[in-house]
Amino acid sequence: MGEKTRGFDKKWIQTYMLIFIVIGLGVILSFISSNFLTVTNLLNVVRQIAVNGILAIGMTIVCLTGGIDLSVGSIVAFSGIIAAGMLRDTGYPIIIIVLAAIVVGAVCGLYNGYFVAYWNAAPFVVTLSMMTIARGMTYVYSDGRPISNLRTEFLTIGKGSIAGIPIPTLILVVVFILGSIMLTKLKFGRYVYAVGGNENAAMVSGINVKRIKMMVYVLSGIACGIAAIILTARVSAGLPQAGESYELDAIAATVIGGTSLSGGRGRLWGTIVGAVLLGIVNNGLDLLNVSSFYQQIVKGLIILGAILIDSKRNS
Amino acid sequence: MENIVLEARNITKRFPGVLALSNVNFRLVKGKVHALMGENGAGKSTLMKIIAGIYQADEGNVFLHGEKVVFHTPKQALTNGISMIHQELSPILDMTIAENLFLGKEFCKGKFIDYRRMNSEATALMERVGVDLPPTMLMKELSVSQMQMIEIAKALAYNAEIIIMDEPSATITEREIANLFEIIQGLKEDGRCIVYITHKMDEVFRIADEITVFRDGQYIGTYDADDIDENQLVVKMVNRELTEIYPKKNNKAADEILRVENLCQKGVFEDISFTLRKGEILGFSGLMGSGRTEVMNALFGITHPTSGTIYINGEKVDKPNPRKIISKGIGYVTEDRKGNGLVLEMSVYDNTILPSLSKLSNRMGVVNRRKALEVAEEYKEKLKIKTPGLQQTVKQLSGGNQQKIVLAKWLIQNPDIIIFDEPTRGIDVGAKTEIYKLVANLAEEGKAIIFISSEMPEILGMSDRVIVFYEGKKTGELSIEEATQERIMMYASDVEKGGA
Amino acid sequence: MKKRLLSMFLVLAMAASMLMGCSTGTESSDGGSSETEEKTEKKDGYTIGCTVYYMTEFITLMVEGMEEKAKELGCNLVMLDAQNDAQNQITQVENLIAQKVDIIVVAAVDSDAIVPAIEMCENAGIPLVGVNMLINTDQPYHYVGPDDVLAGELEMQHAIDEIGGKGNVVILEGPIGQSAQIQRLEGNMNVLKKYEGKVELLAQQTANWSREEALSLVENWIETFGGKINAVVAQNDEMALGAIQALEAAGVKDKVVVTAVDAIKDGCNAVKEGKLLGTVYQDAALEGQEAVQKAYDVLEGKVTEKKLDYIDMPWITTENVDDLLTTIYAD
Repeated sequence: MGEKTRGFDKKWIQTYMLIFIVIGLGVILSFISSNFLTVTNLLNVVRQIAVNGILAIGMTIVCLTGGIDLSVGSIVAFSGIIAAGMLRDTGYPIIIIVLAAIVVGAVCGLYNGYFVAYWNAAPFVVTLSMMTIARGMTYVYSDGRPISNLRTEFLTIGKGSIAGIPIPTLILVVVFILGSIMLTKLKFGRYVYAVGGNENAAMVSGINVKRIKMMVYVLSGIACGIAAIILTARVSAGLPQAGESYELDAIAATVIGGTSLSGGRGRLWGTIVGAVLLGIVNNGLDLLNVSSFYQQIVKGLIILGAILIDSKRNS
Repeated sequence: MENIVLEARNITKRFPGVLALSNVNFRLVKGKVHALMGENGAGKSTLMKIIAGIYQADEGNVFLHGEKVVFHTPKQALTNGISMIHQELSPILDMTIAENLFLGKEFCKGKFIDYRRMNSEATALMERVGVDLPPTMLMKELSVSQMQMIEIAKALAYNAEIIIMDEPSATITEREIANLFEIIQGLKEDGRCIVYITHKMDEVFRIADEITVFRDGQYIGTYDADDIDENQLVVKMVNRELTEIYPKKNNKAADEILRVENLCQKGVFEDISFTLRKGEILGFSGLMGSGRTEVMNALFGITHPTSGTIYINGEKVDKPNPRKIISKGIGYVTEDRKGNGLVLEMSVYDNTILPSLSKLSNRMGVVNRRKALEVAEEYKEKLKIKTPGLQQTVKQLSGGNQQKIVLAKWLIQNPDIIIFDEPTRGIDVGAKTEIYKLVANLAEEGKAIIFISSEMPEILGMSDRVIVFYEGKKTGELSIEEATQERIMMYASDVEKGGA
Repeated sequence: MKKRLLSMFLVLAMAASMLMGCSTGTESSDGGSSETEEKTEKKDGYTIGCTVYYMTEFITLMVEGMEEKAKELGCNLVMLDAQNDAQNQITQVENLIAQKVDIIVVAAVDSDAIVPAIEMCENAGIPLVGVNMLINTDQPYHYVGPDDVLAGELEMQHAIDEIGGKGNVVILEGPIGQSAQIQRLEGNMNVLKKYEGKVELLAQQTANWSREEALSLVENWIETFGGKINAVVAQNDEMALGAIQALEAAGVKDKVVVTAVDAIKDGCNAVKEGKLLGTVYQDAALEGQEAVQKAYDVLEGKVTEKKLDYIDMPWITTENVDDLLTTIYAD
């Protein structure tokens, strides 16, 4: 009996360890910087993590199937530049432009998914190809120049808030809720885990494995489209160099959140906590005036720590 | 006394939540074959892994030639003359036989690998285990039994004094087993100790000198093979009498439900035709790699046959794929539970309802969790799946319970035809009997069953009709009345054609 | 379980000690004043928040100039690096505002993407000074920096003068879309326009500020245009050096003029050796000093008008290159 209760405790602690770490870090930070625990700053943090959080949600779903999406940063740039271009050249309502950015992201994701699923190509390679294609198309479309002077209504998406909560944060919350429902309540979610856990078993169980594999990349592309809107509105311009190396931050949040890169294991809330952790570290180190050289080392150590905890958990 | 090569005293090993070994003892005598028996989870493999340096004991000591030893890595054990051949072989498939044999101790000339010497040494080693293969052949081109022989040769390469074989016969055929036994005999005469872990009763009495029995992590006893008989041994292992292994069958064959005509897959099998009727158990026999599983994979739409037709309920099936076949009422309990039967990281609940999710969710794809839980619970009870709860991940369950989950997956679908491919492999005697009973009951309910097995008694005990395969061809079909071990064996090795 | 908890704690402690270790490290380096509160209490101890686009060699020199000046004026400097990520820079401006610095100095990752920062600072009542990179806005703002258009004009004008007012040129551009690239190109083109019909632009292509990329690009151009190239106008020294290597390897260096912008040490050496005709010098340290001086003056109320201050950009040739090589680039 004793064994059993201890086993339960352990599981519980492991599951919520990440949250403890985040809270612990917050406590430490509020002691060493008087500016950390202020409403403005905390709102800053949650606004700042929106883009990476949304990308990481898409990334997590891809990683659950055992895949990886290296193209998210470039897709963000491409969707963003298209949205900015449409804002400049057309008078379409904002909602149409938002949808267009999402569609662009989804189409890029479809490219990834199609070749991964139906041509059995390695996700690493396919998304690497999309990464450079999307970046190239961004330059072609923008002629390498930023597209600025966007409409003020559009910029509200990046700056505005509703009931005191920044709009980017609200979008992140909505995306998170939708993603969670998809993964836990819909059969699609079960299929994602099954495909990642054991593709053959999933196929023998009559699951359309190829379609699931394709869909996760489309979802990641959609996440890119949404993130692109926020990013473009936040910096008030469509930037050809936007989103560079964002895939790495998204993967970092995913891994810190406990998702296995080999697929089949992971949770969306873990990813969000991972994104929050990265956001707090970033913000805290900025407030403490820590040189960016050290910031990168700290980030790397956190990723390593997360992996060590994870491999301990599985041993 | 000097004859004792290795002794393990009072070994205790805990895994999270499980006491795998409790204060067990074990000793090995020079030049003897020592069988290790017990149901799955009895602790046999765990003890051997401690001896081979893969795990470390929490308590207790291991003595090699009277000296206390602690191995932290398999490499340490190996250099001390202890080699373990694992149940699941893990050779490097894209390397040659010679490279695999000398992995980690390559012969070198200066900085460069001396391939010529390695290849000639490999040939010499293989000769000793009676394998005649070019040392430059890639490992992936070998059959499972050949790989096993290479593993044994590898043990010889390290000049191992103690060779531990974990269920070596689970994946190889009768004839190959005979070959294996010959080699074991040779090793024994050489003065080496063999530890032989198995579930198969007949093998134990053919090969073992001594038998040690474990049950639930406890040491039950060590017996001289001449002093104990099969029934006594079973009682020691399961602590209950097995009155009857195979159930009484009351099934009756009715209308034809499945017809396969001239199914071919180039280079794999050819011209396979057979029929299956409701309420019938059709046995598929033949050696490993004779094409039984491959035919089933093609029938289920996992691979694509080059020609031939499949009729289900008289209806021709075009371009089969698993989804289509499932919808036509076929379920497939695959040979390889871990490979394509279960998602090991997922829970009992998730695995059980996986193929039924479409039926358990609404048009929007939202799963009706309450209903799904009810169904999973119902089948857990029905099949007596032993698990702490539905949310337990299946990788922590025993082989027998895993197999039942695979079965539950399909029973929920209520299929008309169920294919069982080696359903009892690697599971213990008690669980086997339960599986047999379930299969018989299903046939009685009018389900049509294809039952594939390498174990002859199983085929004879369960089937109504037997089809025998040899090298991708159907070589014979026998009714249960005509079938005997000898006749099946003849067809399975193609000794004699026809004669039914 | 204990072990596991311990390992987690260690990770946490590691991160925390990293934080504290670093923060104390930087504080002690800014000369004497130790406690943050004390600093803000001191009358002229302004805190200047700064975010720069990336720690390039140039920016490192500029930051050194800023630190020097800040120390001289008794100000505290908070230095952040946006790592070439426009969104990250916005984030850092937000963080600096949260930190309640007195003034923010920005070397923008992107001239357009930094525009929201102006509004953010205005709302927070914190003045903003641009440095090194212009901000693409119609509103007036405080700025200290190079006139990249002028630099582009200078290098093109000198190249064309050298080849006698007619011939063929190629341009090696910086990363497309960066304001330095855009503005230097604008300068290049301003001059080229004057020589329409006489000077032909054979090719223009980005080599991303990189010596290697420029090397292979110019190799390809030599292959394509043969001896037709008279001048290579590179938008920075690194690319010019790559071009020189390619020209030397092809044995045509004597016939081709190369000009550049930046006057980094390697560039100056090439000028001295006569391989590089000339380069436009942008004094990084001076720029940093002037930026901090301007920030200080704004806070002191000495500067009220928002306007662009350009720093001098001398043309460096064999005649004056030793001034640099014996001072800032002296070993």
